[in-house]
This record gives sequence, C-alpha cells and structure tokens, in this order.
Amino acid sequence: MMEVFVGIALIILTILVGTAIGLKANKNVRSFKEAEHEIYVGQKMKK
Amino acid sequence: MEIGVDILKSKEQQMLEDKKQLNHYGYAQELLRDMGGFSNFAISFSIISILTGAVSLYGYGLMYGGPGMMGYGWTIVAFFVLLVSASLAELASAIPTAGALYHWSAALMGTRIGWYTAWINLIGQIGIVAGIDYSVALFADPLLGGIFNYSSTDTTILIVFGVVLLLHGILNHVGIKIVAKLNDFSAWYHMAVVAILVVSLAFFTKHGLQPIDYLFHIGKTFTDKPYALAFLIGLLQAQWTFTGFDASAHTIEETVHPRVRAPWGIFNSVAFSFVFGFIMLAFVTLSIHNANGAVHSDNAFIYVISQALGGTFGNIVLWLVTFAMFFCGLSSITSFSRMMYAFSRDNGMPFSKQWAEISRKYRTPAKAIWLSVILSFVLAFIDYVAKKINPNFSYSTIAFLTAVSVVGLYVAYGIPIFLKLRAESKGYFKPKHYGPWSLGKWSRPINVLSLLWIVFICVVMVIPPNQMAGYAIVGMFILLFIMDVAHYKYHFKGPQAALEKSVEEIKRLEGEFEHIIHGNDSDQNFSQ
Repeated sequence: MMEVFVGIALIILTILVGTAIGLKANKNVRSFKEAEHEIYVGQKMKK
Repeated sequence: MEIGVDILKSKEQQMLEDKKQLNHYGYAQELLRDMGGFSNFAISFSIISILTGAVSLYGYGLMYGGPGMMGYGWTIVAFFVLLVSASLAELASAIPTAGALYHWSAALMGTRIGWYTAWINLIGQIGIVAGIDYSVALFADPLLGGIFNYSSTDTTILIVFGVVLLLHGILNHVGIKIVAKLNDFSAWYHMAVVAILVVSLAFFTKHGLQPIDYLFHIGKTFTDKPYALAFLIGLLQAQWTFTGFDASAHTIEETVHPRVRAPWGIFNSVAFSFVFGFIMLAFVTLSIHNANGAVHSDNAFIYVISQALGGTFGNIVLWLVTFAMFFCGLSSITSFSRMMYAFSRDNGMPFSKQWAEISRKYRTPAKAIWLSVILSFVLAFIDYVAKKINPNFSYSTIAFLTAVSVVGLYVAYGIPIFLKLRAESKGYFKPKHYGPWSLGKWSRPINVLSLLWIVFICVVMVIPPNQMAGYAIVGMFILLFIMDVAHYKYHFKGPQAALEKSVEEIKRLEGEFEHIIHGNDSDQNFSQ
C-alpha cells in the first residue's frame, strides 16, 4: 500500500511542477517587453 | 496558454518580424515559414511518440524493472525531463535559429564547443532515427510475415527498416507542407490510438485487470542483477521515449512567432507525453497476466496485447501502433535534416555546401534529408554485420540504437544549458537576453537539476549490457577529435561567419526564394 501511495504522490508532484513551470513561463510571455530585450548573438561572435 | 503579444499582430506582420529576427543572426529566410503553434508542438510530440519508445522498449523496461518500472520509472524520468525541456525552451526563445543546440553553444562560449555540440547532436539524431524506424520494422515485419506467410528474421527486419527509411526520405523531400500536415495528424493520431488502446484494455481484457498495486510493485526483476541496478538500466525505456523534443527548435525557422511557439512546443510535448504515456502504460501493465511469458517472448508488448485482446483485435491495435511509429520516424527525419542543414550552412561538415542546399522546387533541404536516411541505415547495418560476425553478442539492436541516441542527444542538450549558466555567471548572458518564454528566478535551479540528471542518466545508459553504445560513442568522439584538430579547428568559423554576411546578400538570397513562390519552380538547388 505504501508503494501505491508514494507512486501516486510522485505523479502528483510531477504534474504540479510541470503546471507551475508552465504558469511561470506564461506569465513571463505576457509581461515581455520588446523594448527591454536585446538579441544575443554571442559574446565572442560580436564584431 | 500561448496568448500574449502574438494575437495583436497579423500573420504577415509577425512573419516579417520573425524574418528580421533571423536576419540579425546573419541568416536569410530560406525555409518556408508556415508552421503554427500546433504544428511545432506536433513535430516534437510525434518524435517523442509514446507509441514508439514506451512500446518498443516495453519488454526491456519490464524485464529489468518489472511492473514498477511503468509506475515509478516513467514518472521519475518525466519529472527530470520536464526540467530539461524547460531549460531548452528558454534557450530556444532567446536564440531562435534552426541550429538550436549547436548555435546556442557557439553563441554562449565559442565556435569550437558549438562544433562539438553539433556533432554530438548529429550522432544522437542518427541513433534516434535509426532506433525509431527500426522499431517500425520490429513491429511491421512480424505483422507482414503473418499476412505474406514468411518468418521474421534479422534480415527481413533490416529490409523493412530500409523500406521505411526510403518512404520517410521521399515524403520529407516532397515538402514541409505535407510533412507538417502529417505531423499534425500524427499528434491527434497518437492521442486517438492511446484512447482506443486504453478503452479496449479497460473494457475488453479477457482476464480482467490487475489491482493498482501491481503498477507500483517494485523489487521484481527478470534478470540476475540486483534490483536497484536493474531498475536503473530499465530507465532506458522512458528516457529514450523522452528524446527528440529539440525538434521544435530545429524547425524554429519554419515556425511563425517562433520565440513563443517553439518553447511551448518543446515543453508541452514533454508534458503531454508524460500524461498520455502514463495512462497507456498503466493500462497495458495492469492487463498483464503472465509477466514471465511476456519478458521471454519476442516482443513483450505484442504478447501482452495479444493475450489481453485476442488475435484479430490485438492485431488491429498493433497495426495502429505501427503506423504511429511510422509517423514518429517521419518527423524525426525532418528534425535531423534541419539540424544538418543549419550546421552545414555554417560549413561544419565535410561537403557542407551539398547538405546546405535547399531544393528550389520543394524548399526542403533535400540532400540533408537523404544523408539522414543513409547515415541511419548505415548505423543499423553495422550492428547487423557485427551480429552476423559474432552471434554471441548479448545486447539487442534496439537497445544499442536507443542508448546511442539517449547519450548523444542528452549530452548535446546538457552542453548549452551548462554554457548558459557559465555565461550568466561571467556576466555575458544577462536578463535582457532572455526571450519572451523564460523562467525568471527559477531558471538557475531548474538548469542545475537538469544538468545533474543528464550526467546521471548518461552514465546509467552505458553500463552493461549497453556498454556497446558507450564504446560506439567513445569511438565517435575520437573520430570527432581527429577531425577537429586536423581541419575544423583552423577552418570552422561557425555562426560567426554568418554575422559577416551583408544585408544585401541576405536580401538577395531571400529575393531568390520569393521569386520561386511567385511562379518559377524548376528543380534547381540553392546553397549559401
């Protein structure tokens, strides 16, 4: 019974972590400001 | 979830902005940018293909980790792969080019590390295409054998494998529009087949389902190894399934609004695959009534389904699964060829000009597509010959191909994640460089956990019985090192060379392709 409980807890944890990451990223997509963004072409690649 | 800035712009405005973004890196918009968010998600979801990885290695996972592998192994791997995918999604949003892992590494540290990343990625891609299409052959050959009355052997499997690769080459050559439509269809198809499988097993299993405890039963292995070690080896089943989601980044130059859609494609493909894959594996495992018979059969998944659903119905389900694998292989060649195209336009490979050519008629990297097909066949063919010479090899071909792809791909995933952390700590990569899809303060801990998992899993994937995959990868590394010091160290300029391209040259290249759209479609090829 313990194995089932731990297994289900692990599934719930994975779903919660995935959802939290998705929500965080979505929040950042919505609040993104193009004016404050700078395209990164690389430190050693800049001419 | 993808609503933000994109809904405010027309598709044309967005595509113009996307083209300008790409031009900043010195690249012309050569590939046809026509993929939407769902298509971008669909290509990764199709390559992850829960109906390929989890199914073709089902017997492997069951043999090493017992039924608990499906309950615990799948979930543990999915948890960490979600973190890896989030880390890569962030980079795709920041540097949206088809070279992806290779370009990110080159930008974050330098061209030589970028060159190594590209080759390691290519090695993994060869393994994944070969592994997927070999899985198609492993399932299709016995089914065809039943229809045409022949016995499935290593030789017949190799022939079917070659035919499948050939079909995938032709479809990819003919055009991104067809492949994109098939990818979209494939995503729905995967979900539908999982639903059919689950409903069939839930209601029509001959002997009823096992209690839920069975799915989480740990401690049972069908090998002579200690359980903890056997469980780790069995993780290959889930870990191989969760590969190839970088495809959303490799097709980024074909995606409209790529800085948002490609990262969602990477992340969501892993998240949805976890959920659908878990449901499928749970029902398949709960329908097992003779686990010992399953692991000792030629194909455990076919055995379980046939036992549970009977001959004819079982065969129909197996054909549905085989077609899902076929779609998976189709998408994987798309991804592989785009990566090769991107690397070749920076002259990173022998005969680069050839592989960087875009077919004028179809606007696909036709030669790169056929090279992907040939390299994948060669990898499986070498393994076939090795087994003919020494039939006592104890590993299975599918385990060899999949272990090569897991290590190759995950090392290639890990390098840019590590380099991003390094560039941040040195102050090169700053918050203003993040794209719209970012993790903010969560980025660093998620990156660190991703790296720890990658190191751990790469070691686990090459311990016996998969040591051959380790030897193959070491051999390829030695070859890469020789190529690097002998030639590329001095001649490879990487994405830096593209930055030197003039605006006029970029416009000239784009002008040539715009000309094709407006009528002229002779089958001449272009290269940068």
